[in-house]
Amino acid sequence: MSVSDRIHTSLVSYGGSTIDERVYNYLGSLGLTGTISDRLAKYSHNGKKGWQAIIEGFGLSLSAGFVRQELFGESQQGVLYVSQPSYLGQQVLYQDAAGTTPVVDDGDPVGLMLDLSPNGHNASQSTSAARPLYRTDGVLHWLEFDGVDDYLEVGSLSFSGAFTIAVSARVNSSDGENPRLASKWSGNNRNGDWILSPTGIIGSDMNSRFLVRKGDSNTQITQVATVGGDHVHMGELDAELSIYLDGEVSSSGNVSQPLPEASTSIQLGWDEAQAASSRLSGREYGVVMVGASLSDDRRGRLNSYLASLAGITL
Amino acid sequence: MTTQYQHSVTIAVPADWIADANHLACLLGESSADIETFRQATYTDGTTDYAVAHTVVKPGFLEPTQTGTLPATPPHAEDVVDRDAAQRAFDSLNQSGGLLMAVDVDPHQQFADLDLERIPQEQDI
Repeated sequence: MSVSDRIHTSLVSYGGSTIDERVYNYLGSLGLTGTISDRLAKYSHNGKKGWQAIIEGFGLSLSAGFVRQELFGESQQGVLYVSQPSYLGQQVLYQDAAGTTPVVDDGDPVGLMLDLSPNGHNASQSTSAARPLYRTDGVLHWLEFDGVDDYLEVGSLSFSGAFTIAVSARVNSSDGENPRLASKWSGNNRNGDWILSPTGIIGSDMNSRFLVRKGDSNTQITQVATVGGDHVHMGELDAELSIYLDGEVSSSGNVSQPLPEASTSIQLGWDEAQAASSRLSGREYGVVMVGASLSDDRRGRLNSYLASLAGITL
Repeated sequence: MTTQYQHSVTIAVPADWIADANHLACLLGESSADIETFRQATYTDGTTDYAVAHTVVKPGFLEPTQTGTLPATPPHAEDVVDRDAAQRAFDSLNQSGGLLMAVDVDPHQQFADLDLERIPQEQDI
């Protein structure tokens, strides 16, 4: 039995269908209150605190809380976005950029999406018409970008060395275009810019693509995705450039990281250059950016987690 | 519960109308940032270039198209909106050479029906 299965099984009596829900309920049974973050902050076990204490006590888990702890537990830069209105008692999506009106219903616009990492890089959109929609089928949850003008602004998050970008998504149409899942792209040849952008035509020659800019040239790596549907796209820059599509890797192009810094703003669903062909028509279920390359184990668990948000199993 | 955003609108704005259209968007919108709804023309019919937008709206957004009267200036727009500019844009709706707006249609199909194509950019990467 895997560690995540052990946690899930160990806490079965506390109810809930996910590990997070069971942990939330378990901590509640100990008298801890508030959101899961509040409860974890108050929880300790064998000299450890929070998720580390849960992991210490029950094994590893596969959840946003686990991803948060494993990817950001050592103060790494990055973000963790999950396209759900609320997450275990904490409101995550809001209709307006100021965060005053919560997203509740299928079809509500999303002007603010809180970062579930400890870094607080919330994604926002202050222009009403450019807000993606929260959509759900009752089981899965996602942001729907209209391919016309929708995008979310992350801001000028920057990485000083290796980094990993991962998005679970469905691209609705890409007729030879380059819809941005996530990007730091000005169109002005800035060192350190990057794009995670499927390219090609769905159903025939669709590719998942990760591109970075260094000096006067772009280096990109692609992985063939001959069908549409839901996928986990992951770009990683370390000693070389890699693209993982549903965990399958293509690597090449030594770009001699670290790249110089770029001041370009990171965006979801579009880019700073705002070419019409770069607008995403499709879904984003979850997004992770972290200022590190990942071990095979961690990468696998992150892929599995993001895949679970899209309802697929890798 | 169902969302209050029961309709969607697709709007194409000739490049010369962008400034006025932004005042209309701000007047009818929900944020002072709506003054930047239309930024650059990204579509063309071969003669005129257009900036475009597509968004969900509450029923009240469409009331002016039924009454012919723009609403009072909302608080978010008080220090931003030029009502004369907004009125000009409103009066041009679906008039020859003016703003084009359609309700509850697929935006991409609407652009195709209007013979609008995306304007290629130099760095279309």
